[in-house]
Amino acid sequence: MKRFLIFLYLLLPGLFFLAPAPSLAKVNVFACEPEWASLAQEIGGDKVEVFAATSAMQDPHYIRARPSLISKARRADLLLCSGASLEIGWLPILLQKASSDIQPGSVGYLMAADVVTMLEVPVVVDRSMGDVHPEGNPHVHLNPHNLMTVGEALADRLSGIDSENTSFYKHSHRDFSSRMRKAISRWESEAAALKGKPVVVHHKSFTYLIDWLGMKQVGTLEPKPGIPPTTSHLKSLLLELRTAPADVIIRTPSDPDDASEWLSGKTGTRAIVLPYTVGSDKQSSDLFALFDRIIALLGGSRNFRQ
Amino acid sequence: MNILRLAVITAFFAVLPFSQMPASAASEQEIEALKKEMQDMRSEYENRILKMEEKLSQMESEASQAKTTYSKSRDTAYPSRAIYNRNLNPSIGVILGGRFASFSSDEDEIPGFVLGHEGERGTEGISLGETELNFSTSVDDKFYAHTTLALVDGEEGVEVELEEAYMESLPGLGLPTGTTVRIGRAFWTMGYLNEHHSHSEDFADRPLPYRVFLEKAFNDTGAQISYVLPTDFYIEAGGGVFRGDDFPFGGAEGNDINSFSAFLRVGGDIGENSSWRIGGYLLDGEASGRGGGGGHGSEEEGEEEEEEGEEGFEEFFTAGMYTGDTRLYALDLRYVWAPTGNAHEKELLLQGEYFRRDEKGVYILEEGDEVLEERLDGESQGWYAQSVFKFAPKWRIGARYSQIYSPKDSGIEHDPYAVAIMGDWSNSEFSRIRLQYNYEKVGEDLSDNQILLQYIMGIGAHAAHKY
Repeated sequence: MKRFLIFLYLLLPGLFFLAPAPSLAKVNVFACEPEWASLAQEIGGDKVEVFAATSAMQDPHYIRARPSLISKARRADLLLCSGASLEIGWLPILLQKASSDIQPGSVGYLMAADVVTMLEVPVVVDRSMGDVHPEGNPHVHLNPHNLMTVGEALADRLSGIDSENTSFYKHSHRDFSSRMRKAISRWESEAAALKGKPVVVHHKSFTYLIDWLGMKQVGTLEPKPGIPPTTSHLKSLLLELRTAPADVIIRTPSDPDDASEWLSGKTGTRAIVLPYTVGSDKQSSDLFALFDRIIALLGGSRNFRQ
Repeated sequence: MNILRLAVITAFFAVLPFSQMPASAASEQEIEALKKEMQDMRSEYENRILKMEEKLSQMESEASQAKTTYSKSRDTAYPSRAIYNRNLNPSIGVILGGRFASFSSDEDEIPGFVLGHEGERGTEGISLGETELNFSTSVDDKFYAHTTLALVDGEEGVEVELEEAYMESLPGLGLPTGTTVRIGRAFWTMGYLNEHHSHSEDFADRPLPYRVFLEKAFNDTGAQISYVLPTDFYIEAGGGVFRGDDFPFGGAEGNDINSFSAFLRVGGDIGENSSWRIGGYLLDGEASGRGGGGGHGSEEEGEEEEEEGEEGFEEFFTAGMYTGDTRLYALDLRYVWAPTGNAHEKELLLQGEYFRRDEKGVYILEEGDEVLEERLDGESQGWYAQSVFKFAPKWRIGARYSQIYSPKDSGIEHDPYAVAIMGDWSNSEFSRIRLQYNYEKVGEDLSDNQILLQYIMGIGAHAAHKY
């Protein structure tokens, strides 16, 4: 008996080696949109397991709280989303069944809208104004400066969740920031000619991009946010554009094409599809490629990398 | 030798001070300058060190603060924009659901089934239908509470129904992740439609099996626990215990728990375009004196009896009061297809449910002063299948077929069925206008053509919809 006990004692330390070390477990990141999945991959590297809840072809306003999303959120250690009520139609249902570590106010709940400066914050909100977000325009990722801000917050949160790899996250964040800083100065010089150019957008998806590049948004094809274009609204927009023409009409790949093509045909202004996020088109494979592509399509530079 | 060495060393040390003297003596001004320089340097360095010390202590305190925020006060450490619909305290929402209904038949019953009051087809003509008042919010960091009041504009004026009044655990309570406990009165997990409020449904009325087996919905008073398994594949299991007062039960007395439920749901995605969910449910309990009056203790109605059942027990099944065991099994399936998963433009929803009810008990029928009693061992089934297609962002069309099978031994040959087609238009998530046509063949010579025109308007806070 005694011998058996001694054997057990000897076995115990061995068991610790058999059990998977906690440091090997990856941090499960639930990213609501592909741009945040891409950012999480940049900062977290191989220390994180990233799941993107929506694809580039989906409109994050209208997602069903599918069973698969419920189980993914339930296993998540960190939630990274745009916030500002963009995911209001489905995220609350997922959160009901999720861990207390990713509830609002905890280390694992990071909303980009909570850390960046918001644009188009309405003074008065009324539903007759369409789908207006009371916190401001939620499409914050299209200004790369915001990506740097969110990246910093993300590295901080990841260190909070997985403190063993703090130096790793710090290092990869520093690396990401320096690459991003260089890229931003390149994009800004390439897009210098776009400053002040008037643009028409389908939905207010590009507000942060337009603000960053100093362009001017002169109209939206949707009469009100989230309300599909109507004939009467398009006609009045056409009249406005005849007197003050726009430089370009832009839409995302998930916006229907009829309204912008119609307006383009009537005014002769070119209508283009701008990638809205990572994976929106073949070229936009990561955050850097996304902005390369956007600047190139807007006509900022001819020699962009494919 | 030794003396010589000593002398040399002594001489060297003796000379040493003098060797420097000529230089210092050379310029006393330089000494002053040097001294001043040293003084300056010292004070400068002292200043720098002081600054560095300050910075260090500041960084140290910041670091320690950061540590405590992660480990201790998570609630306040991060800017939290509370979920919008919980921001108002409490969030209040009103749903208006008026309608116009036209029925070709005067008959409101389904032979072979005792219909509860709520299981009936509703008021004919212009009516306010159901006005729903919702109040909900997080009570604190551990609990959430919700109330739904329905104001029903019926034949006897406006009636108030307390449809839901429950508290629910929040993840902050510290239950194992994925566990939710709900206590009070709620639309419990039983099939697909039961959990949903009528405003979020795809048709203006509930299909036949819901009307006969659940009297529209099962919202007894009780408690339910559910658990989502930590798997990649969605699996949720749960169960509940109830007072046993709501249809298909009734007449609960004393402190017994008269009914219980159990369920299991699984679901997942098929590629990028579609998702599905399947569930199995069981609801078991005792009914004592369940009658035409329906749940929540209201009086039974049972007025209309047709004298036609020669040998069968049609009257018993149609208008009798039931006492005995009742067990309901249900299966549901939902499948959603949308190109690239983008439900905004186009979407196809397929949905079906199957019910089976086993009953063993006594039906009592009062005819004037006469009280008839019949012991019966009945089994009845029903199902419906529906499909709704969104072909443009605002427009949807749908069709539904529902069928119920009359109880064995009831002596009724005909199995009731109903067909519904509908089209609706939604200007936004908060408004919907719907036109629906129903054809119901509930008895051998009982058919009904129904036209329903309905509006649903949601104002105030609006909770996210379930799958």
